[in-house]
Amino acid sequence: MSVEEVERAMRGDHDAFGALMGASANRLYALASLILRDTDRAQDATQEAIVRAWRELPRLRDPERFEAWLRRMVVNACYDEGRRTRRRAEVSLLHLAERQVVDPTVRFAESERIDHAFRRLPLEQRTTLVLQHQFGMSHVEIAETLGLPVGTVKSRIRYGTAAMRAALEADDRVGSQPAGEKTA
Amino acid sequence: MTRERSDRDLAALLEAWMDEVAPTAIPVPVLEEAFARTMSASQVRLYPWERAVRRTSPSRRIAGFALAATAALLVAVLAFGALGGGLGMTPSPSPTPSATPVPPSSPSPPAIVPGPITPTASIPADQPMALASDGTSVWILTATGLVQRIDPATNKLGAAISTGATTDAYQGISADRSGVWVTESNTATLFRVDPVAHKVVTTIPVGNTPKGVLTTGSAVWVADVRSGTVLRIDPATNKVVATVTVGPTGDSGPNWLASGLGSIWVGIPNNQTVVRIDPTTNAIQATIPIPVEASPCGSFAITPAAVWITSCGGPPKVTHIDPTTNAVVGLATLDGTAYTPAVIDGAPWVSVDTSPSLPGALNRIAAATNAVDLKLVPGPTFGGGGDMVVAAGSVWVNDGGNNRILRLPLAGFTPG
Repeated sequence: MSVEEVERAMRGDHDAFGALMGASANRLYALASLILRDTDRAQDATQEAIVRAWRELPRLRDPERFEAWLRRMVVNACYDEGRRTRRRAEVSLLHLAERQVVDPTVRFAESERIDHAFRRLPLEQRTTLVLQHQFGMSHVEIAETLGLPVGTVKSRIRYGTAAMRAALEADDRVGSQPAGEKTA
Repeated sequence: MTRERSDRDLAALLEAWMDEVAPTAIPVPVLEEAFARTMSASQVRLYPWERAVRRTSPSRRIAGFALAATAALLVAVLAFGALGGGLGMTPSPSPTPSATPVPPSSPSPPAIVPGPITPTASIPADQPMALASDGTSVWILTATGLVQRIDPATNKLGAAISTGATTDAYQGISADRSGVWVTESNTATLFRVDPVAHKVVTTIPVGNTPKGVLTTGSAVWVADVRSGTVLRIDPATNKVVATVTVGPTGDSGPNWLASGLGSIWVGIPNNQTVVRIDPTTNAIQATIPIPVEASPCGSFAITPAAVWITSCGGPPKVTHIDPTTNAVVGLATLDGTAYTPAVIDGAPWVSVDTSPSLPGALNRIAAATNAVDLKLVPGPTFGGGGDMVVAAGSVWVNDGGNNRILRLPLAGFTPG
C-alpha cells in the first residue's frame, strides 16, 4: 500500500481504490467480526465502511494515515450497526471447527465462555480490546485511530478487562453449581 | 503482583481467542458487492478552500491558500459582474454550491410510489429491540433487557421490568395469557414475567444459547441456537418437557419461531432449512430447504395459504413457502432489510430499512407475484427495519432508530 496509490484513489481512481481494498479488506473484516461478533452484521459494516471510505476519501487529510482512517471508518460502521435494532442471525464461527486441536470439546467450551463474556461488553470496550489484543496497537495508536483522548482509551481497556475477568469468574462460579430452576 | 500476572493471563487468553475466532478472509462476494457499490457512488467534491487546509506541508499549505485566494477572487469578480459592474463579464447561472456531496442519480425510478400513512400515536421508548403482543397489549424488549408494556388505552409505556442487563441482540420475546417470556442467550436463561405482578417470577435455565421464543398457551418453545434443538417448556411446571433436534450443533442454528397452520416453524441458517414441528407429537413434519440467497435467519409471517420468512444477510429476501407441499414457491426481493412481519388483511407486511436513505417504508408482499405491491411511509424520518405486530385494532411498528414505537390505524393498510 503506497501513498501514491492512496492519492490516486483520492482523485477518483477506482483501480487504485480496488488495490487498496484488496490489501486491507481481510483485516477490516476481521476487525468488524471481532467487534460485532456476528457474521452478517460484520459483513454489512465492512461493506458500509468501504463505500463510505470511497465517498469520503477526498477528505482524507494525510494519505500516510490512510490505514488508521480506514479502521476508524470500520469502527464507526460497527457502532452504527450496533445501534440498529433489528435482530440478526447467531454469529457464525464455523471456521472454529477447522482449527480445533487436542480436545475439541474442551477447546470449544472455553472459546464459548470467552465469547459469552466478550459479548457482554459494550461495543466501545470491545473495540479497544480488539485493537489492543488483535491489532497489537498501543494506547496512543488506539487513541489516534478512534479520535479519543489517551485517558479515555486507557479507561475503556481497564473497564473492559475488569468486566471480562468478572464475567469469566462468574461463569466459573455458575459452572461449579448444580443446574436448577430459580423462582423469584 | 498477582493482579499483574492475572492481567497478563487474561491478555494472553484474549489474544489466543481472537486469533482463533477472527476470520482470515472476507467472503469474496461481500467484497465484490462493496466494490460494485462504490462504482455507482460519487466521491465527495472538495472545494478549493477545503483542499487548502487538507495538506499539512508548508509549501502545500501556501499553494492551498493561493488556490483559496484565487477562488475567493473569482467569487468576488463574479459577484461584482452580477451586480452589473466590473469587467463586463456576463455571469452565467451556476448551481448553488452545496456542502453535501451530490448523490448519484438513480438508474430508474422506483416501481411503486410509497403512499403516506399517519400514525395515531408515537410512543417514546429507549432502544426498543423487539415487539410482542398478547392480543390486547404490546410488549417491548429493549436492548438493555428491559420489558415494558404499552397500554393501548392510553398509548403510555408502563414501568420497566428488568430481566438483567445485556449488550447483544440475541434475545427473544413472546407474550400470551401465560405471561411474557424472554430469552437471554448470554446466560442461557428463559425469563417468565408476570404481567399482573409486574415482575420476573421465574428464571429457567434453558439450553446453551436460547434465542427465539414462542408461547402458544399450552407450551413455550425456545430455539437453542448452538445445540441445534428446539426446546418445549410446560408453562404449568416451568420445566423442559421435550427436546426436538432440528439441525446440527454449532453456530447459526435454530433462530426464530412461529406458530400457524397446526405447526411450529423454525428457521435454521446453518443448514439452510425451515423445519416444521407437530406440536401434538413434537415430531418433525417437514424439513424444507431454503434457497441459498435467502438465509432463513429472519422471522415468520403465516397466512392461511402461505408461510413467509425474512432473510437477514445479503440482498434482503422474503421466502414464500407453500404449506400444502412444504416447498419454496417464490422469493420476494426487498429494497432494504426487514425483520418480523405482520399479517394484515391476509397479506404479509414488513417494515423495510432502506438506510442510509430515508424514510424506510412498510411493504406489502403479494403472494401471487412474490413482489412488493404496496408501500406506506409513516413519516419522513421513519427508519424501518423493526418488528411489526397487530394488537388492539392497530398495527404497531418498532422505529428503533428513532427510539419510538408507532401506532398505525389498521384501516390505513387497505387504502382504496
